[in-house]
Amino acid sequence: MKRDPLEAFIAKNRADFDDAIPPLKVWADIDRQLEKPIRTKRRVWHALRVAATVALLLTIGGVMGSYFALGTNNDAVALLDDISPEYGELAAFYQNEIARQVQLVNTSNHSDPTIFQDLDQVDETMRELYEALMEAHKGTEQEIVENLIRSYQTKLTILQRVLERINEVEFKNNITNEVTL
Amino acid sequence: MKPEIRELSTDAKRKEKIKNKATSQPRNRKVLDYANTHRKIVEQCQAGNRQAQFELYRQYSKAMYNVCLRMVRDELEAEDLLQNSFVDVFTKLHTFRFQSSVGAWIKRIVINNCINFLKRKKMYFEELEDGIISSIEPDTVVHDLPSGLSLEVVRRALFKLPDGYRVVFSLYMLEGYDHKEIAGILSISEATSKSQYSRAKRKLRAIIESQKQVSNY
Repeated sequence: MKRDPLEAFIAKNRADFDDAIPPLKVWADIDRQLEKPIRTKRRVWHALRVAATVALLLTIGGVMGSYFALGTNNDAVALLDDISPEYGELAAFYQNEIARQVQLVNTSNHSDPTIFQDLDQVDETMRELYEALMEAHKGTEQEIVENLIRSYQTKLTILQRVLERINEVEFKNNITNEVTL
Repeated sequence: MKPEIRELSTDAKRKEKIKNKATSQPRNRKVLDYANTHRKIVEQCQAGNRQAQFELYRQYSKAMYNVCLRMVRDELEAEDLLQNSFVDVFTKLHTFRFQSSVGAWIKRIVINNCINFLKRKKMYFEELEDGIISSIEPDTVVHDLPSGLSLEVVRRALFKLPDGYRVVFSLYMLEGYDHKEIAGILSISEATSKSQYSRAKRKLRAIIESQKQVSNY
């Protein structure tokens, strides 16, 4: 029996039906959701480091930090974009998200420069990775790129933890003030 | 291997072809050993390697996002479903035994989540449960393709189908499932799936014709 022309048309153009692209934030949200169980099992050191940072933040408090080095870096994005447009987009997404979170931390009343020392260490690693990437031979970049993406995720995770704690402290302070009044 | 391909029925060939396209798999590799596609990366994901998880997501997210969009017709809901589905994928991946391709396994999780979402939203399958499936209504007449038909017109028309029609039509025509599989996914009979597909196709043609009258494409 001759195939229905409408079915034939759809079958012929099947691949073109999948033209929508999911936003990059979907992966960032998946990564965040997966982070929780993994952190408790496999990243004790990392968790302790973040906890120490938060403890310092709470005791010192009130110091405004400035951290201008965390803005977007177009060269880095372009470098990753050359390897794969998806990597470039992902790097741009993380850079923007990190810059936004840094701004939030800086404008809070509980910012602490020690946070940025931790982030500086991550940045230093990333600079080394970018240098290695520039010198990498074609086809050998994958591992370096994956480490770079991982570093972006680490920076974002640190900032998110800090912001969560800041919000908790501010919330508790507000409650205390209301009770005192 | 080629002899194996020759043994496949027409319906099985159609399914294989669609599934290959929909999950962006290299066709030759999948035909040779499609259950083992991405075995190394899947094993790394099972070990909790986040880079491997990102790579698996990168391979399949676009196709799965389009599945979600067709099922729920809403970008934000589709994003949520994609996110939740991949979290399910990574938390359940230890149960994957390479009996099918990982792409087919992921797709089934995505589709199940979409179906559950539609059921929760109560916007689902009234027309499937009407109990009046008196005949399967096979398409014996070959309808001409409307002239000037474009992909965009078909896509818009597909989005206008009622939930039940759209889901069955998408699963059969775009995702490559046969009616027996659709019956299993939707907990309906195979006859109902065939009937719904036939009606969906008729409705789709009617929508396309009405769009043609309104806008002349």
